[in-house]
Amino acid sequence: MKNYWKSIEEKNQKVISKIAEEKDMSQNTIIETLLEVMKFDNSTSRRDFLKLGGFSLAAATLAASCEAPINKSIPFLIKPEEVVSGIANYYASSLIDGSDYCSILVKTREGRPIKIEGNELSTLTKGGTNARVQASVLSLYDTERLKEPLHKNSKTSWGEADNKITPLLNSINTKGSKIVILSSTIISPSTNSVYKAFVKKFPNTQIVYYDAISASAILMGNKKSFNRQVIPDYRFDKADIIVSFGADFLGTWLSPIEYTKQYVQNRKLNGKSTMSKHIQFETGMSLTGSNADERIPIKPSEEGIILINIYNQLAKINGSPVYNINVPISPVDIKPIVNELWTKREKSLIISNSNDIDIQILVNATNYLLGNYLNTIDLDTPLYVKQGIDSEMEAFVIDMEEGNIDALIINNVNPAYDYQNAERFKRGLTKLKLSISLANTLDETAALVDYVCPDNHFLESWNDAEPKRGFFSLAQPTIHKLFNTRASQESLLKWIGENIDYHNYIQKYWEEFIFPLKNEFINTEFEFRQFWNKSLQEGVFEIPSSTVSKKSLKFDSITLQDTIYTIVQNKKSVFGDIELQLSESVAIGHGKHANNPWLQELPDPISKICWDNYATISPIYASENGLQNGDIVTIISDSAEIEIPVLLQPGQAKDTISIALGYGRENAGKVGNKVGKNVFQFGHIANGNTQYYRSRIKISKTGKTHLFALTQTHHSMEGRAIVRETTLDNYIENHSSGNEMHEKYHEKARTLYKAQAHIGYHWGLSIDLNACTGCGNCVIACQAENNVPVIGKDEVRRRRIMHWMRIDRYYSDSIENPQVYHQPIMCQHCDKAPCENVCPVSATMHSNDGLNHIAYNRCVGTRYCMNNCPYKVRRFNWYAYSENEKFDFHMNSELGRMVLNPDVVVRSRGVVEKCSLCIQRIQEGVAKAKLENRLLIDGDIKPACLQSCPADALVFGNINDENSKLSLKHLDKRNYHLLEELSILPSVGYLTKVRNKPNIKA
Amino acid sequence: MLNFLGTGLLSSFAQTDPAELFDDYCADCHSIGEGDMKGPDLLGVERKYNEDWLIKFIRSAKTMISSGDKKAVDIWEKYNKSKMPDTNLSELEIKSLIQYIGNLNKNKVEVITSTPSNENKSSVSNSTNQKIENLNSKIDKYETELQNFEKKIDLILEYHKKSFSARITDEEINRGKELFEGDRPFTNNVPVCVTCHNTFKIDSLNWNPSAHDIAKVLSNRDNMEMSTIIINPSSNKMKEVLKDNKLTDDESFYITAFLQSIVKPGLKEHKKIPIKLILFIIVCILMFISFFDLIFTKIVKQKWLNITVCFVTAVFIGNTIIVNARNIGLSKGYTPIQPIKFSHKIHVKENKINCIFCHNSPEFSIESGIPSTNVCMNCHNKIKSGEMTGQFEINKIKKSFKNKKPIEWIKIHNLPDHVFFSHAQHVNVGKIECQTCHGAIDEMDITSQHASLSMGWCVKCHRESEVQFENNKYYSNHKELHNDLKLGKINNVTADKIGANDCAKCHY
Repeated sequence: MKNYWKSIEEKNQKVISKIAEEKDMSQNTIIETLLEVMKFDNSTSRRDFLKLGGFSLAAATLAASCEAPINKSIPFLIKPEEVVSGIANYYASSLIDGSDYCSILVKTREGRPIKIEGNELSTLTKGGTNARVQASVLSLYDTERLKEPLHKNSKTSWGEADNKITPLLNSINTKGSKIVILSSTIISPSTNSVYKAFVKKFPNTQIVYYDAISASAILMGNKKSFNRQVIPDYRFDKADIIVSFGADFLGTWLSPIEYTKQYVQNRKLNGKSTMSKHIQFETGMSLTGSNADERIPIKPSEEGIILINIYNQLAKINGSPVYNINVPISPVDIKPIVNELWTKREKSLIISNSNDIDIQILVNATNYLLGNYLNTIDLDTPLYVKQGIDSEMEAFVIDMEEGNIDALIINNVNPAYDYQNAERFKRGLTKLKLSISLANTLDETAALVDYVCPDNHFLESWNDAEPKRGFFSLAQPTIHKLFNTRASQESLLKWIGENIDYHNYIQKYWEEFIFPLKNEFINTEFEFRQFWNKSLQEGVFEIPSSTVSKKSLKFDSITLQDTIYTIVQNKKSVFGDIELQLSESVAIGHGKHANNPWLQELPDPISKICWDNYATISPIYASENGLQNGDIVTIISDSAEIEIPVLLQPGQAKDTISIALGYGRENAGKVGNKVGKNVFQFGHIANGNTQYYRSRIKISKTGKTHLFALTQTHHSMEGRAIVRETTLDNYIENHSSGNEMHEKYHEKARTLYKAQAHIGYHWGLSIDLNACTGCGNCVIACQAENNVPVIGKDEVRRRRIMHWMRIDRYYSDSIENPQVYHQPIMCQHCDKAPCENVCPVSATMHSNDGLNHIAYNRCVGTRYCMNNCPYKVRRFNWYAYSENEKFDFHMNSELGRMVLNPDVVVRSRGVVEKCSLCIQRIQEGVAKAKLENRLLIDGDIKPACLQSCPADALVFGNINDENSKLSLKHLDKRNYHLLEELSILPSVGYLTKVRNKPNIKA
Repeated sequence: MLNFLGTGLLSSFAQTDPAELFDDYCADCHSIGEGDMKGPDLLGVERKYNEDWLIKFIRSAKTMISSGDKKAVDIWEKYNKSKMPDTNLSELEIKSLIQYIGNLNKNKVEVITSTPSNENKSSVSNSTNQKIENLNSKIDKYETELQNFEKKIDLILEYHKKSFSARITDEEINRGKELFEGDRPFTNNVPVCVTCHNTFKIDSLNWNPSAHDIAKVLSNRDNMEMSTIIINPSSNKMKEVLKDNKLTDDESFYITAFLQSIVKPGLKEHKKIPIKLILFIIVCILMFISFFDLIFTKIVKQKWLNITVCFVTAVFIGNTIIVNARNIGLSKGYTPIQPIKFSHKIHVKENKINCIFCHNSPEFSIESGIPSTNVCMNCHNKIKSGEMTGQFEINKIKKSFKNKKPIEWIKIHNLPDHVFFSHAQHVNVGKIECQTCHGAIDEMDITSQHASLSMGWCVKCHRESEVQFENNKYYSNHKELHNDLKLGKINNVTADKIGANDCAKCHY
């Protein structure tokens, strides 16, 4: 069998010394600390015994004599009709936060939002979410949120702030001085209209859009190529071959939820025998790269050369002009890729995340050559999620530094932290007469301004969005404002003298501009009220794309020669250097939500490290330079210098370093402060845009070391057939290829025990490894649903992470360029569960409907079940993680605990817990069916992991029902169970991973 | 010493708020400026009719109509011949009501006249306009003078308040306590307060408000007002009691002092003698002594005596420990004192109100729902006085509604956090009567916990209760059991057979 490995150490058969030692230490911790606290010697004296005896007697008496606390039942004064205690209400809304967009359902219990679900009515996100969306509900209950407006960092009132700001703005305007609104990308049409109104009132206002991680080159590139400054609509579902240059479109790039939904459509087999092919050129290992059929590690500077060669070879086939003067040959063999692209022309897609205009123009040229426009790329329904132009931002910062700007209003951006030249921005801030921030926490920028006028949280506010042309979406408040905050739009309107509620403003805007669109495209007579209510109820209003007129395109190829020349020149200047690539992490993004403990503790999909960023280097480079995991190095460029630990990353391009942005916040809050290092300072402007890579890097060892909070090596599966895979060709030949042992084990299965009778229902789960991208959405969804505690970096280092659901990542093949596998693991709910036999107190039992139950209050914490579980899915509460000063995360504050799901108990210290397949949701579904006097229908019950999966990789259902979707999956030839040789009959099945790549004999 | 204040001034304090009077007596049929309801809109009524006529009409419209008063008959005919019920309001109260309506009227009229684009007004000549303005300005002047005067009175009263509250001494509180508890008789043969109003916490039923309840209600007034109210109580029952015998000013002040003193500490508790604990300790000592004697001192020569004592005491101690330990956390019979003397017996048995009328969600939610104040007010908007408690308890609902403060009931049936229980599952699906778990709630004046709510109790019921197997289509999936039923292998399907006793049916 092929060799699968989860870390380089394992591949090299080394002992994982540091972490293993740490593990051994951890086993003794509780006893040791107890002994230490009680100052016991190893020999217990008689006096100690008496002391202990006396103490326990006193404690027992106390416990017995204590009267039960008086609980109060406080009903509503006037009960709102729609709120029934004990029943959840769902409201359609949208997450709108700069470049992040998702159509969502907000689950509220007794008036407080506790969970985000995907909205299936949106054709953009189609019911999917990602980890950041799932975690956004926790940021509502962040104790660091501002509770009232601030003036020079001291409290003030709205009236006072407004009374000072309005005349100041007016006087600045009459003087003719400049006002700037520095804003994140705004996809809300109403907010843009507020901006316009502001500009109308103060004509000297300039609006600067700024994205911390910008796509400015795509916008400018399309302007140069097609004279349209837009991000086109990429259609991954229509592409048979996807070639991506560094774009992590499944994790972070532009609209990852939408792209995952599209991408997976062509990856799932469901009886089909075709599958898209995905080739990824990239530097560091990204989530998308790990899912690619072929992944080719390259240095950032090589991207242009490879693209030129691809273009030239395609042009040669096509008969278009070829530009190969002085062009170096490609460092990788591109011949097969070119051939495949040409045979699948018009159904191919080339994308790049490069922020270099020249490269984007070249990408456009190649796509144009392949005839992809109007097929897989659509410029007529552009994406609006990133609108910032880097050169405008740079011009503004220079302007501000020179003192040409009097007033600055900062909306939803944090340049003092994430601008590549933050010092310069900070210097500029001091030259202003008036600076206002609308941030809702006191972030790095807000701490430096005159007035902070805190915005509402998005779950408290009205808003609307148009993330893509024609796709409108509404956001409604799901809770009353928790603090004395005000919608940013209302603040802006107030300052221009309009006292209008933003809710009314949006309604007016929709009546005037969006309602007419409805009449234009859909021939049904509607009152505006009906239209508004329907849109609000569904959360979205979409104009069918078929009605959008397609304009013909003409690629402007005049500059192509210059473009290629520049790329070649640029490449020459960096030859033979170590290159640094700055990436965006799936969980933390550009760092705005660094104070969200759920996101901090979400292990990175590839490295499986949480609570940190680090410099990933290739193992070859490491061995050449004597570096090991956790060695701290100094990385120096001409403008910045940091100390950061290194991680040996299989698949990292040689002579490159990758570091995730978004860490090293100073003013994020107690959770996010000083986690990792800020590397935004390594960005630099070149060719008019911020570049997220850097050449001419010096790297030197400091001699210090760092311990990572690494979760992958927590649970080892000892190289058995956990992941099963095949290639597309083999699959077509034989559907059970790669899964031959399934039949064998099935025949061999013997057992001593009586067969379990599952009367009525038998719940099970199926996971399609071909669909799962490993994004981590389910991990956070599960955490939110099941009140899973956050334990912090130290405890994760001791291998005590509490996630009920984990995604294991395995590598195979070479260290230089491995294949990667993602495998979600939760309790397998075995019919003959090994954990049940060993529990001395019968705390974990098998149920009638095939679930493995655990009664926390019966558990005494022997952890025998954890030892006996072959999948290592059980978690032990080493401490009380709720209301404990030592675990100062959301569960330690009254506010943060508001996010807890009242249907799931908060576990106490000393008990074992694990996935229950969302028993509370099963109960809810069953109760509903009973109340409605009907059978359960397939799809009635959706566990949290499954509901919002952007890849639709999971199926839940009744194994007893032969026609259920789940049964069909379980009968699929690709289906197998983990460790089926043990014949413990898990209810969770996996479908083999199929890669679309040529057959190579192992 | 209190007689220096005229009774006239005192009685003015006892007067009820006209807005409240309006709510109580008029608001069901009349509005002020919001259009006709059952009866006419009262906006401007004080201008249409003279005050004497209004007083007579409000006292008894029926007699005026039958006596053939033209105005009265006109109204009666105009409003569908519905007669206005007679009221027993005093002349003073009616006057205050009329004044209240007039004041509201003035505000509303001002609003109308201040709107500039009134077309009817434009036809009126300028001179009359000026006259009206002159008059208005005069009215304004008088009003400001009046306001100043009122402010001065307020100041004087404020001074008195302060001097009153400062004067309460311990001696006065003690006198008040003696009077209240009957240790010292009242001069005018007034019945002793404590016969109806508890000064100690009790767990049996007493419909009358306790001393603390009264103190709490009155405590937001100052001492002078309080003692006035005690002399001239507003409730019918107290009026009845004090009909012939009046409290003296001194006595009422002492009682006020006493009441003020118990607002914060609340009711006293009878000292409980922990008989069981004392017995337990005595038995323990006995056992120790006999054991000690048996082994060391050997004073008692008859060994069998010591052995018997040891054995008996050991059994007693063991039994006590086991019985008590088993009841830890269980609270069968828990009967907390609720903030309102709410009787399920009166509501359910006597007035035949269905449980679901107030607890409205047990059929579809996990919780049955504690009725919100607005649900109470649906009925108690009209029903202002109860047979047993008079107005006192019902007023608490009204107060909660007015002050926008929900009533803080004390929860009786407490399940631990780790237990999931759904009312819908049991009431709607299982068709179980409320009384099965909550006991004869319709016989309870004070609600108490009927069942032990222990896990054994739940599980036992699951083993014995039949599932609605044939009636609910959800169960049609259990084909084997249906087959067995048909074949007669089993007589019925109880809840535990389809997994009701699985751990995670309740614990997750």
